[in-house]
Amino acid sequence: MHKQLAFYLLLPVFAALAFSACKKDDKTEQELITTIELHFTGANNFNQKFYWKDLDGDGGAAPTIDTIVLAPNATLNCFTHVYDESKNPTLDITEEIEAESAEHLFIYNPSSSVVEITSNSVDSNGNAFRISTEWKTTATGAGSVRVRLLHEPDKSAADPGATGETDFDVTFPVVVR
Amino acid sequence: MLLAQDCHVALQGHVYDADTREPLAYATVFVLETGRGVVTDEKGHYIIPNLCEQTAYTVEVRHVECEHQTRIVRLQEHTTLDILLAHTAALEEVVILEKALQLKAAQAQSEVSRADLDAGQGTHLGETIQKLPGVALLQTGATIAKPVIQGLHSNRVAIVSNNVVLEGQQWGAEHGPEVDPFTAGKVTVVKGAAGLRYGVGAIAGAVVLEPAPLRETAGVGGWVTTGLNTNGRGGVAAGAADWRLPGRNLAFRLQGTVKRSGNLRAPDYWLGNTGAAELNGALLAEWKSGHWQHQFALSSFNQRLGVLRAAHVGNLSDLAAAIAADTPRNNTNRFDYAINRPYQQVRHQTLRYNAVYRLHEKWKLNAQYAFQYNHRQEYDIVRSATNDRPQISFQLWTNTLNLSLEHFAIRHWQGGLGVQGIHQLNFVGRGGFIPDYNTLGGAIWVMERWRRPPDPWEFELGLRYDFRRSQITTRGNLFDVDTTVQFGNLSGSAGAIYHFSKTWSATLHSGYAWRPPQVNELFARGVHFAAGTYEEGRAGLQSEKAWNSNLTLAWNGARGQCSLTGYYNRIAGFIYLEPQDYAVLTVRGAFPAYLYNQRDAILRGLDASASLPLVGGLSLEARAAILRAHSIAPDSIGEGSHREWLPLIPADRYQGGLQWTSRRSGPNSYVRLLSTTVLQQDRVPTFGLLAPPPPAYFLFSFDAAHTFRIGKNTLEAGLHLRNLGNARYRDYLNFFRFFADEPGVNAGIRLKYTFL
Repeated sequence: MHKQLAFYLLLPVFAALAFSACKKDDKTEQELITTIELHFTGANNFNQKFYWKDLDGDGGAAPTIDTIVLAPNATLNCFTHVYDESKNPTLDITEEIEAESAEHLFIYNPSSSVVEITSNSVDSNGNAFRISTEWKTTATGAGSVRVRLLHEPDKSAADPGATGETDFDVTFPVVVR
Repeated sequence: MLLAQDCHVALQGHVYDADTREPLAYATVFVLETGRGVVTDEKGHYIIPNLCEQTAYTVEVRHVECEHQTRIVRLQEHTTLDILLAHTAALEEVVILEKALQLKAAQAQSEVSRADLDAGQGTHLGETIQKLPGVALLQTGATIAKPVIQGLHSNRVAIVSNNVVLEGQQWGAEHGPEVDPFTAGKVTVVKGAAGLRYGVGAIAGAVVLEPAPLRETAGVGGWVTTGLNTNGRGGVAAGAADWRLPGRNLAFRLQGTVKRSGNLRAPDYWLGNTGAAELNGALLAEWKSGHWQHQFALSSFNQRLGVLRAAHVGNLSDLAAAIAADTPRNNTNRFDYAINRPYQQVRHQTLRYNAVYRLHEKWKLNAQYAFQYNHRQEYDIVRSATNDRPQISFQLWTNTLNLSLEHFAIRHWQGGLGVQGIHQLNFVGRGGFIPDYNTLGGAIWVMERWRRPPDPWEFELGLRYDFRRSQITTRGNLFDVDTTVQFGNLSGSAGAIYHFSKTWSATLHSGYAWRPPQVNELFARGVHFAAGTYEEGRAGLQSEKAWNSNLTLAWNGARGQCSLTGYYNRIAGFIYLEPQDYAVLTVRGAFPAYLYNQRDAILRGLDASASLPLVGGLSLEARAAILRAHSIAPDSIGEGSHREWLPLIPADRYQGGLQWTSRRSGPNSYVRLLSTTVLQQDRVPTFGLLAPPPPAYFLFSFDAAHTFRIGKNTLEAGLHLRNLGNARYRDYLNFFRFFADEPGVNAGIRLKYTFL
């Protein structure tokens, strides 16, 4: 008789694995970056935004990339905004990044001396964050600037740009005239 | 005067079917006087040790479909007693028919030995089958392993559990089979075109799991097992209990498995976030009543698998940096049981109802309904700490209905015909990558087998027609597809077995099978981060059609066996990812574009295995698998064509070892040392490879087991050591070879208590 009892004791194990198969579950939440905005402000009420956009996500239509046009011998402030325009309403990811500033780092690599980029902006721990930058132009010319956002980089490493994971990696053509 | 009795005499032998002379597995040999019984193994062999000399014993031999036999023996020394059991007309012939139609298919196949099954069940399906020649594993880390049969995997291999073909997102290289090896009493790998039995898609073969038959004597019996592993500090506990009601017409089985392990360790570092957790359960019921036999089965498979954190890369630069690094980047280099993002959450539930109606002495009708629900969720690394949702979720509902009319030998022909229907609904939702679809399909088949013992020939012929029609619709901002695709094709199979003698045989099999393009091959769109590629489907793909022939020579002796299989598989319209000459620019940078395309391909190879007795209880075992696979590519200039090696084809692999089996205690007491050599795969495509294939490696493993008797019950204790030398190695068929080494040494113990 006790053997049959042992058998019944296994039943609750199985009962805990009941079916729940009857509904479509679309609670996914994909994080997508479709738009990077560089917002420049400077002397003489200079106020311009340049966009890198890939609204339909990876593949499909090619991304649209604005050419950054700046005056020579100018110093401009730039603030980088990040959006997901595939959602309705548009999701402002910049706020999320600022909230998790310690885990993020913006990196800017100009291709030549056509523009020099420096930054004082820091994260919640006082380490480099670089969401806002200062762009200095000198002579006329053309080049490009590669803008990256790294997730969980090692900010104390000699080259933080070689650590962490890339959230976005876009290149803007730059013309100084 | 009482003389001290010598009670170390053993009675052993084989139980055979009196008509066919085939060994009978699962026959019970019971000694009334001691109250102890044993069950014959897959070779029909049994051994009862520790009997006393000069004592009369009543030995009763029973098997579910045969009349029992009783013999009285009086032993002087170790004795061999072979028993022939005859079918009796009075028993339910439904059962006899089941056995007759489950004859070994006339094509190359290998069955996992009892020892390998017991040792491997605690990890995953791949671990139980990987020792079979011709079988390799396509891995994503150590916890996700897909069977590769003669070079092909995923959609080209069917996985069948308890007569239900597993339907899940098997197109995905990172999607492991959702099946619990503990539910199987027998695992067989069928090689070659298996479409006739397992339908569309089994063009390279099938992995077939069958549960052990339900207990046939009234009462409760079953087993409980626990295992522990040092690498991953993991544990597994599983058990099953069978209960047959008095009256013997109704029986149940309840089964459960639980597994938990933490981060694995490679020789030099921990593999961060490689923990795993699993909880499975199954219920089987069987009821016989007059001409009817009903079977009901419910199973649930639930798994959470951590995905190596270091394998998560953002773009090609990250991937190049990972490949160049000596140790994994972004790695949590310590032990932890926690399973964090990225991880997979998988659930698979099956319901199966099978009814057999015995129409006539030689005919039966069979109907089976199966429902499967597969839910696979991927939890990726996200920015926001409060995001607790998956990033992609696949849900698949499959209903299948099989009807067949089968007959036992009529003028030495046995076989049947049947129809099958399938309905499948796939929902991905906003997750993207593949669209949603609704598929309706059907099949009609006929199969006949001729055999007339003692005639040395056996033949098998079969023909089948399948069709599939899919409505594919997804409307979303990222994905827009609305189309219907339809595929239909014949498949067939012809096989012959020739028995040269009781021990030597040859099997020749030739089969034609086909596979429709899968939804991902038609409509996928997205970046495959771990591969550093942008992949896109091609809507106009046609079905793959494979002509697969294999020839096997086999020797099955009393204490050894060997087999050699040569195969040639020609696939017209083989679907693969073709590198393009442009890159796709995404927000994470540029990724080389790969488009699905199709070309003819040829796969040919040799699988060999041998187990030869030496002196005493010592035997030698050896295995080899060689495969050459290429596609026929058009020349860029001119009208000709040239050969291109196919990617991700297993390298040549050799195994050799020594096993010592205890004569006294039987086949479940042994010690075994095995070495495995996997060569470097030099035959790779000329472009599209991110890094050269890893170098050749050697691994050593050690296994030992012993069975103890505790009254009527048994306790099996086993020890296994994997990667004894703690070798540092990477495998070409593991997607994580860019990021980290394979796990180092692992020691495990297991205990299995079987109660009758």
